[in-house]
Amino acid sequence: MNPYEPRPASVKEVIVETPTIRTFVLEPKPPLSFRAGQFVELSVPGVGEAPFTPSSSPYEQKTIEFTIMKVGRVTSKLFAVRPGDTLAVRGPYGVPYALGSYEDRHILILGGGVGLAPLRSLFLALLHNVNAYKHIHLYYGARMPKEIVYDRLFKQWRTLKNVEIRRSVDVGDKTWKEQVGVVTVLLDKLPFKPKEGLAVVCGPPLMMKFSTQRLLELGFADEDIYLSMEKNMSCGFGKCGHCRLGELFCCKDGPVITWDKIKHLEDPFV
Amino acid sequence: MRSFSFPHAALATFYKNLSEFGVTYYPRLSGQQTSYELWQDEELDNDDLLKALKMVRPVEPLKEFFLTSREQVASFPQLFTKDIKPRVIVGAKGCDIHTLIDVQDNIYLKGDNEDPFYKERREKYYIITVDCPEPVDTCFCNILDGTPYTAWGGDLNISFGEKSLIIDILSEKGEKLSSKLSDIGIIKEVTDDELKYRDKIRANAERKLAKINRDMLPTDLPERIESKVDPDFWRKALANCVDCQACERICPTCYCFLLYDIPAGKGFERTKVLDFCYHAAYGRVGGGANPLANFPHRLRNRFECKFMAFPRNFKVIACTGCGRCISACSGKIDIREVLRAL
Ligand SMILES: Cc1cc2nc3c(=O)[nH]c(=O)nc-3n(C[C@H](O)[C@H](O)[C@H](O)COP(=O)(O)OP(=O)(O)OC[C@H]3O[C@@H](n4cnc5c(N)ncnc54)[C@H](O)[C@@H]3O)c2cc1C
Ligand code: SF4
Ligand code: SF4
Ligand code: FES
Repeated sequence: MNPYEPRPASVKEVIVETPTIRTFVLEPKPPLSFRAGQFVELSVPGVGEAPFTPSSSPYEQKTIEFTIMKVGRVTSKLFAVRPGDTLAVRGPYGVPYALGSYEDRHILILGGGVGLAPLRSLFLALLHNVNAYKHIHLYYGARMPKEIVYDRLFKQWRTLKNVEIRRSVDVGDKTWKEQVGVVTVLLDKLPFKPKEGLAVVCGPPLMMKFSTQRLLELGFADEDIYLSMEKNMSCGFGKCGHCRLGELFCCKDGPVITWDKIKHLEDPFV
Repeated sequence: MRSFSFPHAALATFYKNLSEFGVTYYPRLSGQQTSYELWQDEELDNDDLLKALKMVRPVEPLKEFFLTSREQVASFPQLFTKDIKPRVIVGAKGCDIHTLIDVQDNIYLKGDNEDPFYKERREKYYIITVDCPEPVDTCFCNILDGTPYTAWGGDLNISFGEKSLIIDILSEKGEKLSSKLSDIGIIKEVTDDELKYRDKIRANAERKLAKINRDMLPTDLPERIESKVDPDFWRKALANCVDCQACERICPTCYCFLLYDIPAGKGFERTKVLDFCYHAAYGRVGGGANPLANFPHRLRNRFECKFMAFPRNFKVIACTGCGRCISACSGKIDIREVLRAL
């Protein structure tokens, strides 16, 4: 087995989420199965690779979705692909969420910006077995209403039982009726005791930093704060060294890492 | 362990015989140092070969045979295969064989995804280690649990008798190599006198090293590095660093690489190039953020990797005291002094 070798994945659909974020529905051959929390290396042939966490349900066998923000070289070229084009994928890599250990607990999913993308696959995996958990709290913050991802899906998500949804934007507009403020405002008046739950956070570095501080203030235990760490990654499987964070390799020991494992580091969020 | 010996004068014949097992590299004098050279059956002065064999580690680290600075590792959409042929490498020193086994093997052969090319080379290449009768000022294996000779890790080990070279067979591959030599009759049993002489040479080398490096390194390096977060410490400790990255390029334990793709036909070829954490772009993530943007952070990162993360993950320090980074440094930085200043 050559772990550097990707498999082809044809583009089935491209969904425009926001001006800078799109969802790509791919059909890898053979199918690529993953568990929530794991990530994949996706290449635009001839351009390069970048790591992305699938945003679709791990129970979906045939296709796999990625929700991606345009930020640089590879992602810009991705935005030029059309249905019918072929991309390449390899993986999955990293440690999946231990969903079994979340049973009978409150699960707080806290996303910022495009950070909701990786959390969506966790959310969908939880929904698969929704009654096993006390309650699922999906909290999401974006900079402004037009930068909200999955606006098309929230309506249906709000109808789900055992699920609570909160959203905020940093700057509102005339149509915005939900909360206004940085994402941590959503953590005020939590409807459960932090000791009875866990929090999973993904978003830009500053959002992760302030969210962690707030969650700690609220009384979440260090080992109950799950952080999706973004580091430069090249191989994805513990060889190339790039993703090292202290003594951990984000690719193989993460990419989701609990606060107790990194709190001794000077500033894990830079 | 089986051993045998042959006269100093038969070294060239020994190399020639080894080359039947694969392309063979041996240490060759190059100024005040040695360098790995391809054996090409030329007429070489046996005394020069012997002199080179006695010198400390060659300029190039042993890893260069196993992790080439640039190699293709995949292609798309067609499948990529590579034909890796056996090689024989003579001249690895104790410090170098341990970087391969303790460091590179831990990275490239462990975990869910082995590197298939590294693995095949490890299986097919023969390694012949050699004692160091003459340690030099840059050597410090003795303060990192090493010795200027080694009894394990390679396939054969060469040590020095007064008029002979003593070969210890260290593995099955080593058995295979030595079977050929008995065919041509250059070998004989090792005598007690030869072993006594060897012990004397080894003890001398250890004494010399003990003089070069009197003080041990701190035993709590991981904790010291972890607590040294002040950029000023690193700026000062490595004040002469001109960021040429020579120390990382020459280091046998540095293992980082990056993958890049170039268009080929309707798909691409994927190349793996060794990468170095002193590169400003090493830690850059999407959109331009970079946790290692500041030079002192990168300086610290090199030490954090070798002396904190590696021992915590694999129970060994990722430095064996080969001293290459000391010889290579244009700013005359001595890593031993940096470690003692921590
Ligand atoms: C586990 C994980 C999951 C992720 N999931 C998602 C997701 O679901 N959705 C999403 O939108 N994003 C996700 N990301 C972030 C995503 O990987 C980055 O946005 C992406 O890598 C950007 O690639 P780019 O080439 O477009 O960006 P660029 O900014 O062009 O490049 C970033 C990469 O290229 C290298 N590079 C760029 N320029 C240079 C240069 N001048 N010199 C040297 N090197 C350079 C950098 O080293 C870096 O590796 C995830 C990241 C990780 C680690
Ligand atoms: S850090 Fe220097 S002395 Fe240590 S293994 Fe690397 S090159 Fe050799
Ligand atoms: S560091 Fe030790 S083993 Fe390495 S070359 Fe010097 S004396 Fe030999
Ligand atoms: S991405 Fe290569 S080691 Fe983690």
